[in-house]
Amino acid sequence: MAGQRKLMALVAAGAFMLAPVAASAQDWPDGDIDLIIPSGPGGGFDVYGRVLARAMEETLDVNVLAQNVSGGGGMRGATEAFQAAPDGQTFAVFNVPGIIEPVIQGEDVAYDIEQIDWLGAMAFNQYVVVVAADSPYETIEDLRAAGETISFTGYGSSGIAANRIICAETGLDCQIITGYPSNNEALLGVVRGDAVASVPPISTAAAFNTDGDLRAILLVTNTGIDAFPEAQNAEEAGYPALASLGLIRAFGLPPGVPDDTRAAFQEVFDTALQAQSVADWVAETGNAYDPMDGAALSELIASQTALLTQYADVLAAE
Amino acid sequence: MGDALLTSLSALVVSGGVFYLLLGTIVGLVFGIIPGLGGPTALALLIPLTFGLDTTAAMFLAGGIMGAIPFGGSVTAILLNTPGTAPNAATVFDGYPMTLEGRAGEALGAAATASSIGGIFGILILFAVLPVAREIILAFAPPEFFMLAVLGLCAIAVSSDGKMLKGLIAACLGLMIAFVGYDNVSGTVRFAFGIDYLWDGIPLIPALIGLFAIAQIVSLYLAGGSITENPTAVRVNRVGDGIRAVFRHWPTLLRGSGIGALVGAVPGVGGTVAAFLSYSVTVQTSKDPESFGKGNIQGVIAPEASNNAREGGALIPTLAFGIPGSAEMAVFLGLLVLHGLQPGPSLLLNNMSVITSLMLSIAIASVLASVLCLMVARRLALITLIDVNFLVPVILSVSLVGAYALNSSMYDAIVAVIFGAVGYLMIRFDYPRLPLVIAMFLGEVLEVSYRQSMMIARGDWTVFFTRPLSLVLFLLVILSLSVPFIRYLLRRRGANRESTAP
Repeated sequence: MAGQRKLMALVAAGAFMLAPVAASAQDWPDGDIDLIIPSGPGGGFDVYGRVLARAMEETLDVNVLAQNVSGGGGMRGATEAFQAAPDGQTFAVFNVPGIIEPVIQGEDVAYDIEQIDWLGAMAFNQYVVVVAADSPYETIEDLRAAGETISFTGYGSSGIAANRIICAETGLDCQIITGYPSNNEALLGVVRGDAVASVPPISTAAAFNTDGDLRAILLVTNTGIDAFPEAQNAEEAGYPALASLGLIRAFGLPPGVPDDTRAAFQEVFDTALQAQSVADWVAETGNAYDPMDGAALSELIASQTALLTQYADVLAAE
Repeated sequence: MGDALLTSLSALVVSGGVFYLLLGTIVGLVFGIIPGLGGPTALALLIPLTFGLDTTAAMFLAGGIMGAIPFGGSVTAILLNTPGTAPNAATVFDGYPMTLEGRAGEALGAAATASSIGGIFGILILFAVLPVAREIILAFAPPEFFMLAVLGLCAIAVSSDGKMLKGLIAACLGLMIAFVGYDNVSGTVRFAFGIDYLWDGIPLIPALIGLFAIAQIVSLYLAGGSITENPTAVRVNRVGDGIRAVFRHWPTLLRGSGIGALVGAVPGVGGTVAAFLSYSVTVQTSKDPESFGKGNIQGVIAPEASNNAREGGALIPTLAFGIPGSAEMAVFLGLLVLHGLQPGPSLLLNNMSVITSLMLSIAIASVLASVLCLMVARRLALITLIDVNFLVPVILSVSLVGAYALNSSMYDAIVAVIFGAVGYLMIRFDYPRLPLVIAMFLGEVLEVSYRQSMMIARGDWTVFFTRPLSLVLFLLVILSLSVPFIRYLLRRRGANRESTAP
C-alpha cells in the first residue's frame, strides 16, 4: 500500500516535471493541504485550526492535515508558514499578537507580518479584568482608589502584554505574578488568593465562571457581554483604545500564491468559516466566534500593532 | 451518578463501546511499551480519528489509552531498565534487578496485578472525592507545589541508596538542564546559546530515550551475552508468583494506590512524584530496607500501583477546574473541547455520563491491559534470554524513531543520541540516571513555583512555613531525609553493642 503510494507519487512527480509548469485553479488542490498550527495539540489555536480544517474538508475532496509546529510563542510556526511554498497547499493559523510582539521589541524575526496573505480570522478573543467573587473591588476605579500595588496573575506573553497595557492605560500600579501554565490556572490563582485580579480572555473567564467564583470589573471591549452583564465596558470606563487588544485566531497563506489559486482557496475558506459544523461547535462549547475577512483582519492587526508600539517601553520594562 | 453509570454501562455493552475500549487499550499498551511514545502522543494521534465518533465512543477510546499506558511503560522498565514514560521510572529500581536475576516473569506478573488493582482503586477514590474536589484543589498554591517538588526530589535522592552524593550530583545536572530555554516567569530565553531549538528547553522524552534506552543498549552490547546474567536460572513461568506476591503485600499495594491517587491530583507534579514517593515510603517503612534496589518485589508493586491510581487522581483538577493534572490530561482537554464539552464544574452537572464512561473505561482498561500482557508475559520475559546482538538494532531503531516521531524533528533524535552518550558515561562511572531525569522533569515546577511564591508573598520567604499544608509537606521533607540517617545511627549503635559484647 505504502509502496504503491510511493510509486504513484514518483509517477506524479515525473509527470509534473514533464508538464509545463502552469498551476491553475483547476489544479488546486493538488493533494492534501497542510495547516500549520503554531502551538501544541489541545490548545486554543489547535482547536480552532482543527475545527476549520474539518469544515474545509466538507467542501474539498482532499484532507486538510493539521501539523503542530509549536514553540517560541507562535514564532516558529509563523516562520515555517511564511517560508512555505506559495502553491496553496500550505496555510497556517497565526498567533496574533504573539508574532507582533517580538517585532516591536526589535527582535530579529524571519517573517514579515505585512507580507502575510491574510485569509481571515475565526475569532477575536478580547480580555476582561476579573477579581474573586468575594473581593471588595467592583470597578477599575475601586482598584485605583485602593492606592496600593495591585497584584495580577498572568498567563502567556500576549496576556501579560495586555495586562501591562491595561495597567498603564488605566493608571494602575500593578505587580504581575507570571509563570502560570494556562489561563485557567491563573484564574484559579485569583480564586485561591494568589493575587487580587487577572486579565483572561472573556470566553475563558465565562467558561471558568460557571460556579460564580469570579466577578468581572472591566470588559476590555466596546460592547456588552452576556456572561458578565454587570461589568463596565472599555468605552463606558473611558478607555476605548484598549478594545483593540485581544488574541486573534488568524489564518493566512505564505506570500506569493498565484491569484487564481488564491481565489479558489479563499472561496473554500469563506465557505468553511460559515459552515454549519462550525456554528454547531460554537453553540456547543461557547467558544468565541467572530468571523472576519482578510481586510478587516489586516485593519485589526494594524490597530493592535499601533497600540502595542505606543506601549513598547511598558512592554520592554521587565 | 448511578443513572449516569448505568447509561455508560449500557453504551459499553450494547452500543459497541467494548470495541473502542479494546482498541484504545491495545493502542495504549503499544504506545506505552515503545519508549518515547506515550499517552500524550497516543491521544494527540487519536484526536482527528474521533471526529466521526460520538462523544461516548471517544471517551471509551481515550479511557482505554489512559488506562493502558501506565502499565505498558513498566514492561520496558522491568525488562530493559528503560522506563517507557517518566512515571514508570521508579519501577526500574527493583524491576530490572529482578530481571537480572531471571525473575522477569514474576516482576511482570506483580506489575500487571498492582497496576490493575491500582487503576480500580484510583477511580474509586475519584468517585469518593469528587464532591470535595474543589477544596482539595484550592488548598494547593505555589508554596505547596514547591514543597511537593522538593519532596519528590528528596524521595529520589534517598531512593538511590548508597549513592546519595552521586545522586545529588546527577540531580543538580538535571536541574541545570531543566533551566535551559524559555523562562515562564520573566518571559525571556536563557542558556540557549543562540540556538532556536533550545528556546523551548531540552525536551524530556528524547532525553529519557537517550539516557535509558540508548545508553542501556550500548552498555548491554559492550557487555555481550544476554540481558539476564545467568540464563540457566531464568524461570519465565513464575508469573503466577508475581500475582500472588501482590496480594501478600497488600499494605504496599493500598499505600501505593492511595499515594498515587492523592498526589496525582496535584497538577504538574503529580504522577512522577507519586511513584517515587510511594517507592521511598515503602523502602523506609520496610523492616528490610537493604533488600530494595536488589530485586525486592515490593519495589515493583509500590510504584506500579501508584502509577495507575494517579490517572484517577489526575482527573480531579481536569474535571473540577479544566486544569490538566498531567500531560495526557492536557491533550485530553483539547479532545473534550473539540467534542463540544467545556471542561470545568459544569461538565459534572450537565454531562455526568461522559465522565462515568471515561472513569469506567480507565478502570476496565487497566485490568484489560494487565490481562493482555499476562497472556504474553512469558514470551516477553524470553527477551531477556536473547543474544543482545539481535536486540541492539531493534531497540536502537525503535528508540530513535520514537524520539523523531514525537515532533517529526531530527533535532530530537540528536538530543536522544547525545543523552545516550551521557547515559553511557553515567553507567560507566556508576552515577544513577534517575535523579537527572526527575530533576529535569521537576526543575520547572520547582523554579516557577518558588518564584511565584516569592512574588505572592512579596519576598517574604516565611510563606513556606506559615501555610499549614506547606508546613506539613516541609516536615515530610525533613522526615524523608532523616529516616535513612536515623536508621544508619541505629545500625551503628547495634553494631557497636555487638562488637563490645564479650
